[in-house]
Amino acid sequence: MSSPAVAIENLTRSLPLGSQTIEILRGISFSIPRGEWVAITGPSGSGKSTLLGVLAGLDQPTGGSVVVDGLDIASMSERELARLRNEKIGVVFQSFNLIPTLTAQENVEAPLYVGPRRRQASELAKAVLSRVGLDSRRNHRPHQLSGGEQQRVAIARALVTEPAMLVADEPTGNLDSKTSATILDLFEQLHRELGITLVVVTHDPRVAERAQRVLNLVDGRLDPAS
Amino acid sequence: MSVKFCAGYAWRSLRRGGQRSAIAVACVAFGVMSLVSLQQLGFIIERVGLVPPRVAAGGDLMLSRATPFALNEALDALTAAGAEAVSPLASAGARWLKRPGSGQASLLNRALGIDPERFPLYGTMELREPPGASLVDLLADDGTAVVTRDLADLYGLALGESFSVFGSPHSAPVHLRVTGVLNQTPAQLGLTVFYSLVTADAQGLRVTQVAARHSMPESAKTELEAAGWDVEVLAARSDSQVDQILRYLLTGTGLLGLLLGAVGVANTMQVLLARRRREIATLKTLGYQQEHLLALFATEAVMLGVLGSALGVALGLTLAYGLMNLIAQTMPFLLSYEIRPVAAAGGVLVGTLTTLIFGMVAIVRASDVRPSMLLRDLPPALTKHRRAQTIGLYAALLVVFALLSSVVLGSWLWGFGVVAAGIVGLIALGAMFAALLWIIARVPMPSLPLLGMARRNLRYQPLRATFAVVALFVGVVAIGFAMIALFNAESGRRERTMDLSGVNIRVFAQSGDEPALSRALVAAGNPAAFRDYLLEAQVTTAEGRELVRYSDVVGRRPERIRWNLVLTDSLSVPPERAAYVDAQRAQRADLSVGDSLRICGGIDTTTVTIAGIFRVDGGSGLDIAAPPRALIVPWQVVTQLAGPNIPMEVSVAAPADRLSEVAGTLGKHLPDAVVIGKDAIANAVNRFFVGFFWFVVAVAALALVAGAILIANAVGLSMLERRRELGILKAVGYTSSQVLGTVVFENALLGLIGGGVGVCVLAVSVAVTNARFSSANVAFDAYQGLLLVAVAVVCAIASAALVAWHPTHALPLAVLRAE
Ligand SMILES: Nc1ncnc2c1ncn2[C@@H]1O[C@H](COP(=O)(O)OP(=O)(O)O)[C@@H](O)[C@H]1O
Ligand SMILES: [Mg+2]
Repeated sequence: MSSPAVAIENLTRSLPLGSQTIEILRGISFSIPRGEWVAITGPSGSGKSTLLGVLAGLDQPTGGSVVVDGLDIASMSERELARLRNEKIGVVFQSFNLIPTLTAQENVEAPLYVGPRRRQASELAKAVLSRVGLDSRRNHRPHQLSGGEQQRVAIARALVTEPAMLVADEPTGNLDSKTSATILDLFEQLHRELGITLVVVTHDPRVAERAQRVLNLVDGRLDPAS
Repeated sequence: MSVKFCAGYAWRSLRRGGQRSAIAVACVAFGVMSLVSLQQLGFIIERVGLVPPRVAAGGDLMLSRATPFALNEALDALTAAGAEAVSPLASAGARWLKRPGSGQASLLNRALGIDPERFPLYGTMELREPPGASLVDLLADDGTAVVTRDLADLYGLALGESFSVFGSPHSAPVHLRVTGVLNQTPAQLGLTVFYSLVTADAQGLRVTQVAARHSMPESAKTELEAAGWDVEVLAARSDSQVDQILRYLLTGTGLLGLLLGAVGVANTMQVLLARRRREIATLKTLGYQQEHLLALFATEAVMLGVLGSALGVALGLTLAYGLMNLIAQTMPFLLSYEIRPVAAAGGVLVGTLTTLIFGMVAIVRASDVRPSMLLRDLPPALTKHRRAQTIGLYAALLVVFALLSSVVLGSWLWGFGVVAAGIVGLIALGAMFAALLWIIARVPMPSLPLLGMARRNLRYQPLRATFAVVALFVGVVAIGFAMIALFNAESGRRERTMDLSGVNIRVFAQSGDEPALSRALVAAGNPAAFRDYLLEAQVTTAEGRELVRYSDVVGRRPERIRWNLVLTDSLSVPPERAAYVDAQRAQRADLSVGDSLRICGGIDTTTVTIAGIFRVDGGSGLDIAAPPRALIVPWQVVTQLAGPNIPMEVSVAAPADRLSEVAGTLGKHLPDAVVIGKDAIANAVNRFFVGFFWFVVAVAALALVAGAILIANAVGLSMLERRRELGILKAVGYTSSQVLGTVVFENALLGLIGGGVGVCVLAVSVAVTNARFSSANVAFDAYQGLLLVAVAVVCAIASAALVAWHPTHALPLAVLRAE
């Protein structure tokens, strides 16, 4: 339990754009202890989503090292990254990204089908759905659910494999302020009950203020004030 | 990942795909239908064509002689020559069949006297009814006959019915009774009657040929010919490969149809999966590996394939059955339809594999998406190296498809040949249209707002436009060929409609029937008629040169009707000695008017003088009024030379509207005569052309459907991919009708290009055909060309507008969100 959940050292990420290269992340270093709730804020285009993508194993860094739960993402193959995403990291998006043809229950079961615990998929999914308060919505399809409910299903799906870390990109960006508040309450409850590491990207101060620590990203660099 | 989840997910995704899934299923179904139907047809035709000559003829060698012979004589000769088995045949050369009480006679393929214990030497006779009977029992009694099923069905000859068959005017009718119906004969030849040698003998028919089984027919031939026999040796195997090639061509065409359907599937799957890139990225985010995704989407492709193929096999078998019946109307063969479970299952398998193969490009491309795209708004564009990878993938899949084709065709050369031909053709077309579009997009043109927009799109989306234009071109050419074939088949059919006026009934009778004939003519309302008495005679010129031998000399008895002859030269000669000679024969024998001819008939000899040289006025071989005649003499000359009963042909000119009635009356009054009305011949010919016509219609309809599917698929899908763009146009202030206007204009332009070039190609190929083959007279005029271009334009606009309608009328935000 001594190693941090996330340790980032001099992370850079650049993209070729025509003949030029644009540098999105220009050398970022920080670490997140286990169980901490961190918010990443910053103006639009500052590189928050790019940073989160690397943290979640959706993308790979151009330079530097990213160690998640003791594993270095930078040197991982495509297959290893997929396994990491399946077992160690849960991701929640701004636009929910539920699979439209599957019910809430099946959406939550989906990550278990390709993991080591596919036999318990049904019970595990039921348990998590009940934890996020969606007992009665299990057999509904995404289009039959409200935005807040869809995001709860997405959170349940991210949690069902019992990951070490939950990352979220603007999780309340598509929701009204009342629903946003209930989702934040849910985050708080999960953080308290499960002791999970939580990284939330947002530009909304009301979201950021719930976190234990706020990292401010400006133009691809961490604001030293944060 | 469990099978249950995989199948459930795939099935629900297909249902969610809605219209697009239906299009994909239709593409597979179309492809499999064309493969299965044409393959089945190929097998049916090949089965007829591959009958070895010795089976068709009934032996390894066939013995006959110019002069009459006794059966024992022939059998002894064959035994001496080492024949292993023999089968004597008594052919009356019968051409007509008549049922008592029915007026007119019907056309027959052949009537054959056989020994049921020994016939056939090769092949089998398959009885349809009565069940469980044997040929020997059925033909045991005198006057019994078995008929092929087409005769039974066509002319209503049920068991127990009696009928007569008629051969040459010089032989008497054979009276028979149906005791069995044959399902199949060794030669698969239809319209055939079999009776026993006993019956033949009783009716005065001699054995004319003896078929024999022999291990060394060539040496037997030499031996028998030395003894004065005529011998024909029949090959054990058909050495002509025409029918096999025909089967290859049919199946190859079917495979091209499947390839067409497969391209449609590839295209549709592309769109089906491209719309789901977000979903695929989500699955990747959840930790799904490449193989999981491949399994999910391959299951989907297999489901599409099985559904479409099953539908296609059902349609294909039905279509083949219909086509076979149409062909059966045009050929005197006993075609048999047989559903081969293996072939049907093979169709499903091939269709499913093809769907999987061609869906693979879409599947691999779609599962290549990076999950980080979910953090952005726009779907990521495909990079250059992906395009190279896609081309490589397509190439690999085509090789797999070619392997599959080789298995279907049973030949590497044909399998790879068909696929290579299809691909080379498509690439050549693609290159040509890409160049054309490049020019259209860049050549300076007046700057009209819509034109400018369309040209910009051409410049930025050249591949998509090229694909759509190629589809339009192929579609127009397919539809055009269908249309040309239809128009020409239809006009051919109309031209064959016979003129029923003039001499329209012929009666084959004996002079002994004359009193009955007179009564019959009175009963039929006294139509105009003339009688020809036929004489087998030897005709020589004054110098002793032989002109006619054992052929018909006609004694004509003029009545109230004009001869349908034109005299090219004439001379005044006493009428009772006046002879008329056919112009061709006169020229060949160097005869002219005034020459005298010696006629040596059955019981006497006489001399006549050539009073005229004639040619038959108009009329083709089909014309009932113009039978070929060598020499026409006064009827008294024939009655003087021939014996008592003379074969007679009566030509009757019945009023056209009462033709069948008159023919019927004559037939009923003359039970032993053959009465043939021009209407019956017209009907038989018509049946042939109607069958042929509908065959062309069926094939044309297939081409039509293929063309329409291709156009709708290519244009519709390319528009689907641009819905977002349309939403953006609306978002920046275009009205619905302006957006729709751009779409319509752009696709009309594509339709014009593809359709125009297609029509040019059609016009050129029609012109070349007409120039190369002098007998070909294919019609294709400017109106049809314009019509075709219009079809292309309308097809393009309709399928584009159908897809574009919703996004151009919905709120822009909804469209942008829907991605
Ligand atoms: N795939 C990409 N192609 C081009 N530019 C990109 C791509 N991904 C990110 N960017 C650019 O990188 C910058 C950071 O993007 P992002 O991480 O999405 O910022 P944020 O989430 O903070 O708004 C932006 O300027 C964006 O335009
Ligand atoms: Mg962002």
